[in-house]
Amino acid sequence: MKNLTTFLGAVVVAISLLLATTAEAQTPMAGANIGQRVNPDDARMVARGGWGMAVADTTHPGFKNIASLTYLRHVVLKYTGYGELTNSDSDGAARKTSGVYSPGLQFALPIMKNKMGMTAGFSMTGSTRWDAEGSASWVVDGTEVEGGFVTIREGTRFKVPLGLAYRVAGGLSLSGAVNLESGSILENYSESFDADSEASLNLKESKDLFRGTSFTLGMLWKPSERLSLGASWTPAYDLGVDRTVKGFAVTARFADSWDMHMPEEIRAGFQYRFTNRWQLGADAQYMPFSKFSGNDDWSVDMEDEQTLGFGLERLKANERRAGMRNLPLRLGANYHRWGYRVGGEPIDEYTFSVGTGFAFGRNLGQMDVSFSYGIIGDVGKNGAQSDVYRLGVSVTGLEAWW
Amino acid sequence: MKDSQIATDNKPQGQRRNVFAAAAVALVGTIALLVGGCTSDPASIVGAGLINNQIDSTLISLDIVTIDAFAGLRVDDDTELLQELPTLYLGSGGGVKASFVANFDFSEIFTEDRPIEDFTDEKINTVKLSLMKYLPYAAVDTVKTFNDVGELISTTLEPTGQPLDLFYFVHELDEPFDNASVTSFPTAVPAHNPAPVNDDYIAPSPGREPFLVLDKTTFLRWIADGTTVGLLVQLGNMSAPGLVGYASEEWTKATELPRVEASTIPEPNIVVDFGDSEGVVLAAHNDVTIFEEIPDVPATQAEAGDGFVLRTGLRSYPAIRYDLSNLPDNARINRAVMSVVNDTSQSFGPTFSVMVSEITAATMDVATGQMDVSALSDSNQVFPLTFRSNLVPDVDYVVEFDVTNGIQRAVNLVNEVPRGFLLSGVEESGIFPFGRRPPDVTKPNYYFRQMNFLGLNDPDPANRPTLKIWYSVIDELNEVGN
Repeated sequence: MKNLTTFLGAVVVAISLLLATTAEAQTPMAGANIGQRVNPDDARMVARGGWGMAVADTTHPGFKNIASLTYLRHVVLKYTGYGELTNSDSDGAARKTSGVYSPGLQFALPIMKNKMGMTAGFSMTGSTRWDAEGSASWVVDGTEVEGGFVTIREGTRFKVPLGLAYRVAGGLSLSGAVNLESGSILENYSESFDADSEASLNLKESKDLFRGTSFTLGMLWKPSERLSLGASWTPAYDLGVDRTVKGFAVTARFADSWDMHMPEEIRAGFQYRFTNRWQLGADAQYMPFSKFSGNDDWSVDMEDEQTLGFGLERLKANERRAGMRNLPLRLGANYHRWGYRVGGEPIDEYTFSVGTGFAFGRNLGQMDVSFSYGIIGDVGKNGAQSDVYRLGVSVTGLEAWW
Repeated sequence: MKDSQIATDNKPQGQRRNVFAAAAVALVGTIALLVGGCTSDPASIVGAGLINNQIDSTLISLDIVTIDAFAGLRVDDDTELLQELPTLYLGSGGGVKASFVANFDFSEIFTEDRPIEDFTDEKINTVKLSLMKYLPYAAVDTVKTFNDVGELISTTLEPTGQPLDLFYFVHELDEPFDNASVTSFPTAVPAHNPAPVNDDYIAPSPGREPFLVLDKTTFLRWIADGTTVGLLVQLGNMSAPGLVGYASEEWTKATELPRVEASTIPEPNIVVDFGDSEGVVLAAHNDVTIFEEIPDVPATQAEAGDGFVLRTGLRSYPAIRYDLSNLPDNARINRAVMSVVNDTSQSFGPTFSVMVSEITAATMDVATGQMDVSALSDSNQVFPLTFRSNLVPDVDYVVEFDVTNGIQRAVNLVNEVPRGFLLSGVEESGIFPFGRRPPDVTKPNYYFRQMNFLGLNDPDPANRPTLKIWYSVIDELNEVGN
């Protein structure tokens, strides 16, 4: 059985790695501004409404708060993949999109069991993927020229965190991480004209490359067996931007570099186990994008980003002949106000989620699944709205695999 | 520290089966969703307004009539001397007046079958001067009508628009012309007897192969002298206006001629009919067109103010270099069209093609106004862009050329030196059949023709040679860091 479960986990990872790419077409709002935030939360956290800052788990660690890694006793590798189905409405039309992506791959090892741990990994933090096309007309020499346009926006922002966590005393753990931030936004816009105009295709392509470094300080306090509290702070930092703009059939190109100032980010959360198998928790996040600078087109629409998620979890059990009753159960809800406005109004996102998980042999790993339904934006307020159905799968492998 | 699991039993075989089953279901579900991921709707208008990435200005048009330089370049080609032209011209049109001369050597007319004794007034039935028009100059065309089952029911001759009624006058030159002396144009016709030597000059001849009846007595004198005689052929004033081309001794293209027997001689020849099948044919020894009147070709910008010319046969090609300073930097050239307005009342000649090429300033801005023919095939001087085929000089009014590539190169500063646009003529046979690209513009033109374009300073700016550019602007390209 151990071989079977190991094989199963390997198959899941292999399929996910093969099929997962950067985020596919997401929501129309991802086509605007700095793009849609992508949370690298694993399926367990998603199912609990995003709660994960106060995790203090030995065999099922969370990477949301690096300070929680002090409770590690095994080397751990976690991989998460998502499949999304999105129905979007705007401009009186609807579009269904679906895609698969992998927001993160994380690794951690205990340097001193239950005392000190370190982590490295890859986490997607934002995505700007959306494309659109339609008909258009232009007046040229007093004559209307019919044609069409195609606009494509794609790109990903991600970070590579390298962190260290240390339990300084009792239930208090501290962490520090340096995050190598990087990413790109590629925008491609083309105009085509009806054949009788004899005009050729117009094409503009712009590319922004981001790179920088941020730091995150974390804290986890576990005053009792049932209660833990977590928080992190990422001070404001600068991202270097290299922009290149090219026009088809024009030798010249525009190239410039500048710094984009990203605001600080504060996260906090708690979890409380109120019975032997049931616990609840909540997370909050705040990033004052009103202090963002470095892109005037974006700045005017920035909004302070806020997230509040809470959830309930029934922990797994190994009770003999309990069958499905041993499975963990999770449910949660999440509210997220995006960091920018669309249509002059803030974008509010509501997500409701459920999930469960399956332990591998000898408790040396776990596969978690989550299903969530989210509503992003409002057609009346933002001019666009998306309904998102997401299936998440996370595989956590402990050291027996390696 | 305790794990979050609630461990109560460490032998959970049944539970593991459930776990495996649930995991398998989840896996299958995930794969199903992945497969479903391929069913996204194609991109649509949804979200189009949210992506803030557009071209700042789309398809702005700019008319450029201001030019930096003009040149009327005469092509210098040794194979294109007057005597080498495959066509002889008669008539007048477009300011051109032409006639031709031909020498016949009567010492070569006698054969074993027709010795000198046969050349008597009694034995000779008729003596005619035979000419052959090229097909583009045929005044009538045969139109066949068929019934529903494909049977020929009628054959009619329809006018083609070419000069129909032509009154031919053949004069005897005072002395045979010296072929090598006819090198320039315009030039006067050689001295000749004003009395025509053909008897049918009062009757119009519309055919493709006119046979001009020569005076038998005069012919017998030529026989008796046994020397070379020069004949001048002209069209009378009553003839329909227009230039008409005939096969010369240098003809090369049978496809340009009417369908005739293989033994037929296309160039001017004298046919002696003895009333039987043993006639005698004496082909011209040499021949050449005499351009009595021919307008000068504007060679400079000042001269081209009232008009300029594209001439084939005696090749002279115009070149124009536009002033592009009104075009913004880094404009994305979508389309560029150069247009010239043709004065159809003055232009003449058969259908042909016009090639537009880029020409470097060094080749264009020559003081001599001449360009060696080798420049046309030298990629360091002339770069073919495109061509317009099936142009009829006296019909096509506005002629447009797509010069987008050339303007894109100019705007993108690809050219090491400024370039203008050269218009050159190409015979249709140099274009068709397709597959020969680009046309060989170095080959001499078969026909003499002329397109007279309205000038650089024409009172109506719309008639001036114009470069119209449609461009788009991406403002960022004009900022820093180019």
